[in-house]
Amino acid sequence: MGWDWTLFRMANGLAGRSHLLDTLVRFVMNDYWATTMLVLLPFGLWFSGNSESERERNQKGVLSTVMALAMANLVVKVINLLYWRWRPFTYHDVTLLFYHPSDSSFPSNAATVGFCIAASVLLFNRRTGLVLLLIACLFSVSRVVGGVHYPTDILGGLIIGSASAWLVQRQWRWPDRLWAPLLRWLRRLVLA
Amino acid sequence: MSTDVEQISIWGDKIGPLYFVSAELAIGYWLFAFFSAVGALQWVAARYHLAGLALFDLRQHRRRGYPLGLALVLGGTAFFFLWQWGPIFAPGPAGSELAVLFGASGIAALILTLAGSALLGNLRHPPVKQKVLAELGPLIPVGHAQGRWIEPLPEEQTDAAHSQAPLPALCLLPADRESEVVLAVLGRRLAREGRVLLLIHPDDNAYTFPAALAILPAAVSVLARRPEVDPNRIAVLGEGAGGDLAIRSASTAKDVRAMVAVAPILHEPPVGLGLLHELTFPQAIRWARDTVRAELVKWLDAGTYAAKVPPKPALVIYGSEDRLADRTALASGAGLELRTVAGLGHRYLAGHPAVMSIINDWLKEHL
Repeated sequence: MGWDWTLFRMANGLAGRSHLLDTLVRFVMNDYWATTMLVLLPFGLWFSGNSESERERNQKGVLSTVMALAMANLVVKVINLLYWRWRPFTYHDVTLLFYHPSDSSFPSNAATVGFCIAASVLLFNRRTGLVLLLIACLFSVSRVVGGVHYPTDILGGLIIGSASAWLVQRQWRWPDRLWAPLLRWLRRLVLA
Repeated sequence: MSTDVEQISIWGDKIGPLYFVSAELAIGYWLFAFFSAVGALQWVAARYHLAGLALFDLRQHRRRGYPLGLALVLGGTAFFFLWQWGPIFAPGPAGSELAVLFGASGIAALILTLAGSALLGNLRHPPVKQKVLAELGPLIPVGHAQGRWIEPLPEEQTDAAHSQAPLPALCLLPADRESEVVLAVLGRRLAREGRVLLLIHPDDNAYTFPAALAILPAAVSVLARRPEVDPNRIAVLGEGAGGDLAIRSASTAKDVRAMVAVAPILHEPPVGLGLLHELTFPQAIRWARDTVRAELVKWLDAGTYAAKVPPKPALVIYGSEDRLADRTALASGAGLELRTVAGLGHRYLAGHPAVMSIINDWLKEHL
């Protein structure tokens, strides 16, 4: 797709021009920082809430986020089995700010995880969800700038992650019935 | 990379199906996630007033939780990225390994935070000394329960004149063993003004419903038998669940002149994380498992019976930060004098100097 390549060239064109920008991009695009922040905020949400009902809503939301994440990862695994896309650096001359990932480029794991968590949290806690959405966007864009993903890889991850989140948080009712006894048990241990 | 693989030989190359690539990277990431998780918990403790999660003094310096949380997250990040900047941009552990490391660090952070908060809480507010009780003397039978005398000090040892015998008397109903010590301290303060006090021992067998309802009549009978006590000037004072018992007992006792309830629970808070607003984790676990208290409070139904205490003078005191009692359940208790003391919580409320003064002054006026 022409627009995909054009967008990739534009984004990747930012790499290698400024040491400061490269460092910032590398700081965000690595496997550790953004993923940790994406998990850290829901971890804090578990304990958050001004009332019992608000806390319960957050806790059910966090548990559903874990379920949505598992489902999104499963979908990515299945797609990887059926379809393979080479990374941008395989056949093109790109400015690479990262190591050579060896898995399929489509869909982006990073974008799937990021947008799944962000969308899922956004559906039950707007403020935290917006912060997570910002982190997910930065994480995803940095992966394109850093030369390891095409924009359509990110788009694929966004669709898979968001759809999983929407399905688990808004369309399925049965996870709530699953969480209720688990939360009751955790409450007795003063952990929920 | 070969040196990295050698370095994790302390674990072997793999732990089950997990491959961490480099021990230093794994340990570095674990510490980064650990400090970040502790930081997140401190931020949450400050934002939602969770004393049981706070490593800082939540009552005195709540806002310190925000910079502390931020410093831990930023410090953890700086430590990891400065230490492992090179390996971070080489192929590292996969998502499943990172999830395991984050999960382990999150659990460790939670355990350390809960334990640390309890430990620091004990250092800041040492538990009241049991020796206060030993100084009071032996237990005496009070109906099916037991109690201890708190004798009025001789007039020459006090700063208040109380020679006008017969003296007023009080029955003190604690919530539990810690409350018993707190009420012993309060009792000694009240005894300085020339009052005879009988402190009930909160025995699990005595504190069941309906047996607990027999405690106050038995105590009144024991107090009235003392020659120096004026049988028309006997009051009851209870703290926590003892406050519930005081309200319920005073609502029917004709020979009780006045009633003071300090932080009566009225309606049990739901068991769960909400208990950490007020209690440390070990205290919250004990509270959650104390079914005797929960049952007693439920059956006493003090919120309903509060309306039946007047026209007797009745004082109910709460701390403004009390999250264990439900003062809204007192709406039916019109005619009660309700005082709220700013900045105080539920536990040890009766032992606070401000509360002791309020009680002392109120008793001077009404007993």
